Amino acid sequence: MQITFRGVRGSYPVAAPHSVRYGGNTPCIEVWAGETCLIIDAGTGIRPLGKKLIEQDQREIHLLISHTHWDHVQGFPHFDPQHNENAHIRIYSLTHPDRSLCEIFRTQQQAPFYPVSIDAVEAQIEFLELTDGQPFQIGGAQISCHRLNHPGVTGGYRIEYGGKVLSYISDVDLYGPILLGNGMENGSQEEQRTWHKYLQNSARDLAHRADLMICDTFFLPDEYQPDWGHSRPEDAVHLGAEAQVQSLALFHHEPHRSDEEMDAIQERYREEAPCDLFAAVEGMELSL
Amino acid sequence: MKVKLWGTRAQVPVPHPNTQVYGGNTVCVEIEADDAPTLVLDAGMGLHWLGNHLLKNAFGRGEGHAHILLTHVHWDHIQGIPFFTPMLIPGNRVSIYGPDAELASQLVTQMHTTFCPVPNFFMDDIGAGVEVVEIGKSTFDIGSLRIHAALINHRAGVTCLGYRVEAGGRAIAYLPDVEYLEEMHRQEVVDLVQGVDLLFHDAMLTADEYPSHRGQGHCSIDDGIDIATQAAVGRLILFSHHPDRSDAEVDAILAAYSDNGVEVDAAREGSEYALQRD
Repeated sequence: MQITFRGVRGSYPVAAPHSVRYGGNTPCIEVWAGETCLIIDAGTGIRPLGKKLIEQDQREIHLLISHTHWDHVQGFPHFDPQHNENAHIRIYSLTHPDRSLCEIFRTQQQAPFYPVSIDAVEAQIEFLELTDGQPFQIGGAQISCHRLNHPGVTGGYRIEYGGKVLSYISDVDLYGPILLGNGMENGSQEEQRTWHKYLQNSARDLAHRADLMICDTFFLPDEYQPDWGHSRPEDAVHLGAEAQVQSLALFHHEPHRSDEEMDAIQERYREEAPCDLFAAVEGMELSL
Repeated sequence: MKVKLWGTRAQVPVPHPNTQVYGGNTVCVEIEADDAPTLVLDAGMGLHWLGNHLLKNAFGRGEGHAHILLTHVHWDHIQGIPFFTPMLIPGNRVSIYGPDAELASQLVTQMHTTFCPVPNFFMDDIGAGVEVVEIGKSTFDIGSLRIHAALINHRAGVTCLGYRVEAGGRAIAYLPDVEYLEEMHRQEVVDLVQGVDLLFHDAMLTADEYPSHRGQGHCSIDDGIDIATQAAVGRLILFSHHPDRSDAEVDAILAAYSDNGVEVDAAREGSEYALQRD
């Protein structure tokens, strides 16, 4: 499995001098499972990736969406393979209770907000809605998507290929006291306990013995807000230990975090982690 | 009157080492003048950083009032609004002007929980007091600033305005997205920008690139030069840089247009232009 970080920044794209080295594009991970092209999330990092896929005339493209907050979908209108008439783009995400995935992407990409309607592009675009915990296959890759604790409907992904495992767990508050997802917030105490347990098991299942776990670490401990749906590096380290992962990538960096601060965070948590640990950098390539 | 550029990039924010000079934030311009509240032209990603700056004064205490003039609602002109932190602070007031009867509901669509985890401050009981005002071709005052709005041609499916702002006998005009398909389109803009000191004008496409993009809502840089010449503009500021344009490429464009009988500059994020009272 070949992995390239195309966007590592959380919340919104950061074009500023303080973040040039770690990168300011919003989440996007390029994953090659052999010849199969998988992309996780469509933040602004997907724009340069699209240019590369056009150059090599990649036709079959599978886009796994964690959730539809702006920073995870806003790059899609600028993804050039949409204009390749031979391309077939399949977009996957957990089912939303109130509207279809197609409708959500159409809202983003139509007048008056965007000049080229998603219904008018040359490529074939297909939407596939996923069921929480139901495994599925893309090419030789075995994939599952599990619900996470974050406002709205959010899923993390586990991708297994060639005996290696990649886990993508963003966005999430891993051990937060408040249930944030659609359908979780208003249950009885008993239902809430069940949800908490379910979500923690889900994160553990996603991460179990992963060779690489990419994890939301938006907050530092003194910044933590329990109702935002994001984690701290210690939460990710805790999950990494519980799930016996090989390597942990800190991800979804806070927009104002400078490159120097990122260096210091990486140093500090490297000492605490029972596994390899690094802060994800835009452009970084890894091979599992 | 003072003009500060917080975002100069067209279409999509471009964080990249090659955009550090001219900037990667989508369009946003701040105008300051004596006896006028904060005036902002367009609300691209640059608006977030302007918001952080404003928090240092009245907006941090919940005592600010910002007026935001939108040219149109393509994402790159409104995507900074959810991240404009002064809107989260009760007591602040934000008035947003734009050219569509559906403007209020369009801005609320951007804040919908499907897309946006930030509390919807367009609701009465959350954050700043927000007012959304539909405008068309019109002239009105905001404090000491006189605003002229004109309907201009951009792209099918969206209504688009251009603005002229005057104070203390000086004037600037702002046309980040415009295409001239008919003589009428050109005349509308020439009338609006006549004699301004600074013209911030769409420069997304070079003359070589334009023919293959005709009808897509952007003119060529040569059109900007023509308009500036025809309207006796003081200085033309090339604005709305293409997302693929590197700093070196913008430098080269600027050099190529340095000898046209019109003073030309390229918009740099962070630049300030001070226009002394006449």
